[in-house]
Amino acid sequence: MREIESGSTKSDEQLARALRTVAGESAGGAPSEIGNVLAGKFRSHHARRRTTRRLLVTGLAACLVATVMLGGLLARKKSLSPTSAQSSPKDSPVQTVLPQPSTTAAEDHSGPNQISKPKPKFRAARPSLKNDGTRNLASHTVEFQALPAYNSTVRLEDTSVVRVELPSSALRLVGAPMSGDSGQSRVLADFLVGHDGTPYAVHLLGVRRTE
Amino acid sequence: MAELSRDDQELVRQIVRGDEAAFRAIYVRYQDPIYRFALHMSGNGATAEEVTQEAFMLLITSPKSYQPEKGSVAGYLFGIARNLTRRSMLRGHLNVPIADDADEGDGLAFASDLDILEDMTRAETVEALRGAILTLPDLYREAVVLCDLEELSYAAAAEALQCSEGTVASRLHRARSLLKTKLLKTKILKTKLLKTN
Repeated sequence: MREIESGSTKSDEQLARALRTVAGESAGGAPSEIGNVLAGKFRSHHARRRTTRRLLVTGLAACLVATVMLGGLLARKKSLSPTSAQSSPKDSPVQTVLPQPSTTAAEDHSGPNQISKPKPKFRAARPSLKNDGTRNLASHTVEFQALPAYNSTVRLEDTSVVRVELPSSALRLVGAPMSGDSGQSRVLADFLVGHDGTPYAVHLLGVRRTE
Repeated sequence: MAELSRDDQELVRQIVRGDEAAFRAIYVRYQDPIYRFALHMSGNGATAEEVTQEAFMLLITSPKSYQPEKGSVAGYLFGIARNLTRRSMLRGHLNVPIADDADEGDGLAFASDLDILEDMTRAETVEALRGAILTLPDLYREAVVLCDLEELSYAAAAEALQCSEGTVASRLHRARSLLKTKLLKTKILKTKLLKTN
């Protein structure tokens, strides 16, 4: 106990002594049952809290996944829309060349002039299997556009896809359908090439304008 | 003291994360002082138990309400216990009315010089002092219980009582004066009773 200040009287000392006695007599504490009850409540409280947090996290994750999926679906829908391909913003640093409406390679035997002509509807046919189990390049039409070197007898198994970024002028040289205002831009594209390196088809992925 | 306070703060951080051992450590450290504080303040064991349980329940359910920058864990717990005790006493009408402030002022002068506990046994002294403490006004009783019975520093008591250290010292001084007067009265009463018998 704190000593009573200097200059204290006899009664002060007696009071200090008496207070010490009371403090000593009151040495007991709370019954042990309270501790047990509180420990149980601590456990149940935190179990409940953990469950709530888990549910919250799961809910948030589900919402996030749903949002991403919805966003992806909307983006895909937008990219498949033929009108959106014509209205890409010019001020964007990277412009994406949306897939031109492609035709099946089997329908396109008439040369490069007809390849670049947009058809009103996008047609994405799955590569079909022949009876002998091989797939023909002619049947692989998804998003690729045939180039002048295209050969309908080449089998899909004999080709590979190579992703390159090259100037639009170089693309024009291989017969890729490029718009007139593409200028000095660089284009990211997937090429379907044969074993000998001949480019059979191209899929334009994006355009980066160079100032 | 500062080290203990830092340790307490770390324990509270662990309680927030759900560490039961940390809660037990805090409970073992403070259950007795909190219980005794509530007991001395209310003079009622049941109230003291209830207050102790509720104070620690608050630490379980909202440990983030403790803000280290505002003071120690001890001060925080005593502050909770103080409020709970007051509320409980108001609810249960356990507050003993103080009706002797006026005449005690007159008695202070002589109470400081006289032998207030002479001829009283230890048990009588304890009983008389406990009774006297219970009749003190809340503000003075808190100061006596925290500083004299629980041996808290002025700083810690000030934290618990949410006032300055000077206020604690002043209340303590006043409380001791009142206690002396009350004890003297008890002694006089006892002497009269003995003479009558």
